[in-house]
Amino acid sequence: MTVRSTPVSTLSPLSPLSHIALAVAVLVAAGSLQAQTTKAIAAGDTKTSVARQTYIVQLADAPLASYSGQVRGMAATRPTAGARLDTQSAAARAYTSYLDVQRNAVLSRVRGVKPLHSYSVAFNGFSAQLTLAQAQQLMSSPDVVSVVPSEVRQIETTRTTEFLGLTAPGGVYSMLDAQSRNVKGEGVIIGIVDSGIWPESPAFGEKIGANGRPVPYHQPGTSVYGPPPARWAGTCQAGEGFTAAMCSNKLIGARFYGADFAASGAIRTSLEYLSPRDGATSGHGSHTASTSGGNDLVPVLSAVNGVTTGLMSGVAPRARIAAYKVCWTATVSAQTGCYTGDMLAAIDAAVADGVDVINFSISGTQLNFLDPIEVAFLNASNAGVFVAASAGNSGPGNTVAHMSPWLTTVGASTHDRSQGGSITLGNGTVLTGNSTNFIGARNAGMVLSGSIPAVGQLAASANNCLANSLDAAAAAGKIVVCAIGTNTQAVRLAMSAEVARAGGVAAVITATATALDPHTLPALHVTAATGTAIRDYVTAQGAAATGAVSLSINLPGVVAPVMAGFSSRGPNLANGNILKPDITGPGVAIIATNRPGLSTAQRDQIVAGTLTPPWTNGSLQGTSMSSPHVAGSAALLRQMFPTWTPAAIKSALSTNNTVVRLSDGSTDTNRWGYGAGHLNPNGAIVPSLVYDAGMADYGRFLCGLGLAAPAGMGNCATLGSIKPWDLNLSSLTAAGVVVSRTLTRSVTNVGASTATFVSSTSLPGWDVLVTPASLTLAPGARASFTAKLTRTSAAVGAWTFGSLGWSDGVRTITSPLSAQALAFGSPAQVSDQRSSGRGSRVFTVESSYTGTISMAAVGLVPALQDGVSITTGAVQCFNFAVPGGTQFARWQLFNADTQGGATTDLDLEVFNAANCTGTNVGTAAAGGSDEVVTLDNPPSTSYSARVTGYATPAGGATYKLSTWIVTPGGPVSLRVAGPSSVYEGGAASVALSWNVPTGSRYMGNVRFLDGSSALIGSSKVLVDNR
Amino acid sequence: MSHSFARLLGAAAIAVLGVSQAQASTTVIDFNPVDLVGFYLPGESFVQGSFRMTTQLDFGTVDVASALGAVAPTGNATQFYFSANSGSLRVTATDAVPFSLNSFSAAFVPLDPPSLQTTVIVAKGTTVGNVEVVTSWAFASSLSTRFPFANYAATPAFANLKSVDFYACSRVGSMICTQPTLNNGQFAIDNISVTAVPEPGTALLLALGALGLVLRTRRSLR
Repeated sequence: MTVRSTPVSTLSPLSPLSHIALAVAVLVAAGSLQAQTTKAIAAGDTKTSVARQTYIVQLADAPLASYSGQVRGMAATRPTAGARLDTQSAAARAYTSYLDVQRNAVLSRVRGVKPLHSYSVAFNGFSAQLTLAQAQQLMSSPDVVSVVPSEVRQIETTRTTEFLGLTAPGGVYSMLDAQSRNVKGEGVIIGIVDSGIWPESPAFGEKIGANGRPVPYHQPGTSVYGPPPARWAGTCQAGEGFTAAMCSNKLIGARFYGADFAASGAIRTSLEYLSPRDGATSGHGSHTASTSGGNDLVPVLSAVNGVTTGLMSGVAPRARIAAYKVCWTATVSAQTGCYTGDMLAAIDAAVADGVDVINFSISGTQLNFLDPIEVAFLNASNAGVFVAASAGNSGPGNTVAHMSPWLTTVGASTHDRSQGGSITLGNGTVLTGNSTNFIGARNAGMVLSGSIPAVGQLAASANNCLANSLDAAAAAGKIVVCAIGTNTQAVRLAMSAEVARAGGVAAVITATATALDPHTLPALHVTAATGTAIRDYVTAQGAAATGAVSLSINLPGVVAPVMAGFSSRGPNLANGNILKPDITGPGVAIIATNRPGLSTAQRDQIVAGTLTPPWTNGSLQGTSMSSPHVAGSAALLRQMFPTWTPAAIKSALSTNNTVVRLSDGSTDTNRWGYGAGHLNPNGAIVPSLVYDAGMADYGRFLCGLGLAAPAGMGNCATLGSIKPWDLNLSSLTAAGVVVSRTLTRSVTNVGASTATFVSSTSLPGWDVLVTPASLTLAPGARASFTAKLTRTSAAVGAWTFGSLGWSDGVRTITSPLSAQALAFGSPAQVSDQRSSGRGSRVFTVESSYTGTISMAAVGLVPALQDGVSITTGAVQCFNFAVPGGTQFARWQLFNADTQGGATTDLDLEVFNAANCTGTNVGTAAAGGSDEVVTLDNPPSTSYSARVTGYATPAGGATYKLSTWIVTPGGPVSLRVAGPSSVYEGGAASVALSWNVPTGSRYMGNVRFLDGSSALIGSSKVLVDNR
Repeated sequence: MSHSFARLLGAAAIAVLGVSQAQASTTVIDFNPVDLVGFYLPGESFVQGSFRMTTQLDFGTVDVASALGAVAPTGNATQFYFSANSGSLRVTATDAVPFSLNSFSAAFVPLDPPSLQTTVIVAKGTTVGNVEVVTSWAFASSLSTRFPFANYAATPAFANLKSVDFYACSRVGSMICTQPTLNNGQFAIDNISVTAVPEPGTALLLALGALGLVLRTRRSLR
């Protein structure tokens, strides 16, 4: 059965354009083919920009987590394998003092600035409220790596179901229970960077009561936890409604970080707490904490009748939990979220405190490996901390976030429980439907709702169980059969609510196949055919009709796991050779600790210390819920293998997976949903082969992409570089392969005995040659192998998914293997930057055939620039005409052309009609002002580009919109030369040369034709000689 | 007497002096004039000093290292010549004066992705007597896609040349040039040191020609 995916627009990673009041100021085109703007009419200036905003300033030295001793006289602080960072060591204290001095020196250049947070552990720098001038001043300092505006990110919950007051069956986590009986996360610390914690849940208590079940901190019981691991350096930070007494040997730490949130001008709601106490309406942080490391045997309560109807458990129920609150609920919903500056402070603290695992169920970058949060996680990984992050809830589109290889990115899929329910009719017939009931309805009378209208109500209204349509006397105690009217969730919920109001004990809704509505009483959705059978029975039996509605059960034949529609899919938008998501885990209808709904008065009593609040449980869904399953599993592996690196743990978790299915029961072969497959801790915990990687590997990977490795990881000259497909991940992914590609990996035998592993591969349409084909490895030994992928029949352009396995005869370590074929490989864009007008550029192409090749160049065309000024909230529109035959058109904004640079945030949209009407054909809305929209082979028509001032300095920012319309027929100043022949599977050099006036950015295009003059590829050319 | 006339006369005098001593003049072809930047198709040529460089078989470029992107050789901060794919570079003297090859620097430039084939740099000189002189040298090695420039000294046999060709060849063990390079014959070359050594007869003719030029120029100045 499929699971309904709920629209997630308000919960997806924040789209900067989504909450701007758009008032279009149309600019009139000059009416020529050459697009021209006349005058900008600034309009829609909806708010005044603040003069200061929060920036994240990254400094040039390594943070403690990665510091390897580069500064003279300062010993390394990066922990050795298996150890956690010790911030109290002499070396760490000395180096921290050094970083403090460096930071203060930078701060002294911007007088009067007080940092909101200072970072030194997983990130080196600070966050502060700065003016634009100050930000620019810092950016020009050699000690400063980057200055970027703080962003607000969202917790990744799709909160479609909240089962307040309902109960869960036992065994929701039974698969994981079975695992936890062996290894339960003993001695492992999970750090939850989230919305805080609700400490009254027994999931977070250290004691058990007389019945052997865990109890909250405030109830009597026997402690079953010893003191925290000796390395623990965290604290229990008191605040509103939160005292040190609420921490224990289970919830060993709690901190909160909100300076960046507050500095942004956001105001906490009246239900928030300036403390570690969970202030999210959904209880998000408590939910993820209890899912990853909450106690087992925690009762699932029903608020309807107060009885315990089930037990629930975290994945690593004996792990210790440390909560780091960074997500805040604001009075203005758009300001609700988690701010970069606060999140960095929490990650810094978590690594310093000594956590083993971080769960990060918060949205993130889809494109930037050097985003501050990704960098902090890289440093955390260097210090041995495993990070699980949510893939995002913006699916099923290609929107996977947290795409960095050093963390484990988790998609969400269904589990096979609690999906269905049944009704047993008085004649013994059992009929099934969709249900998420956690309480059932015992044998009760049945009645058709259309037969019991309330006085003055139409039978038709009663038939649909509309509000106040049922006769309470007739419905009381009955199972009421309602007919669906408008088939929306709101209507379905109103129907069951009406049955409840009228005193019914359960509702059967015919005919709807939808599942997973959070009904407030037992409700069963049945198909039309089932509905007819039920109605026939009730009609025939009349007043004697009876039935019993089951608890939500694991129906025979339920197909699971199935990827949730909302789960963000790959491929990796930053680099297609890194598989993302890495894995999927249960993320639909996950029951865990939740905070109760409280009034403001009750909240105030909690703060005053006069009310000890209750706790509850609830069902949430999202990649936020699947990520803590992986975090908890990593905690189990950490306990079992304390010296393993985060990469080794990730490898074990993503080479021992179970299959993901489509709703029809067939195997889902599209790895963009689930990466390696479904989380399978039972398989991962058996040691065999792992693909290990560390700091130097990630450094070489970044260098190979032309990026700088973060401070402390070495420079590219000494590190060298690798191709992205050669990073030693357990996934093997090859984007854009012409004929063949060889991927290099190494594996380490982490088993206890010497073993011979034999390779096996499967990749439809490709020949895969593994060399050597078998490996004999002693315990601890490491060996390299190559996998050469050669295309046989795979379709060009499409991705093919398969696997590569190593079997020791008993079990197989299976890697996901993915490849995309290209017939001809040429760079998407060739760029050259120099101050002279004359230049050349050589690049390589790859061919899948042997024969001749020809090339044709168009351009160079200088950028047409429209320069205007824009304020926060304003939008400006520019018109363009695109002639026929145009090979591409590009609109681009540059930080370098924008007043304030990256500290000003402009966004860009393109429409296929004048005056920003028509259809949006491209949007670029990243942070900062580097935005680009490119249309290849655009149909000839009018186009318009709309620039939005998302965040500008007070008084606005000047900027230039650059436009290139590259069409054959103009003057050709770009020459191209290539080889006389190309060879199958071989590369060849192609050269460009040009001689144009200096002072512009030029674009051109090169098309490649084969021997029969068929177009086989093209490369855009950018020459910047300003 | 105009200044230009004085310079011409002086030059002629030096040339005449050179006749008696068979004066050798050494030139280093460094490809650094900015107006050389660009690519050259097979058959196209350019001149630096009194030497003509002709691109053969495939295209070549003159530019700084950054123009070669990820496969750019290291150890050269100025312009150099890049011979692409399976090309070669021919050096001849514009004044037909025989020359000797002293040394040059070169670097291997791999394809991306690289070929597995190993190549060497080859210089093939042709003497005025149409005798071919061929020598090959190993490229400096590298662990990355960027190879360093290295300096190579030519043997004394590279003398009395009318041309010299530079190209890359396959190497399998001790076997050189036995396999097609399939576009993997790429190299960068720079600082080609050549010495023009006029034969006495040739030098005398040259000097007389120079003197004639001086006299003719003088007449035209009147």
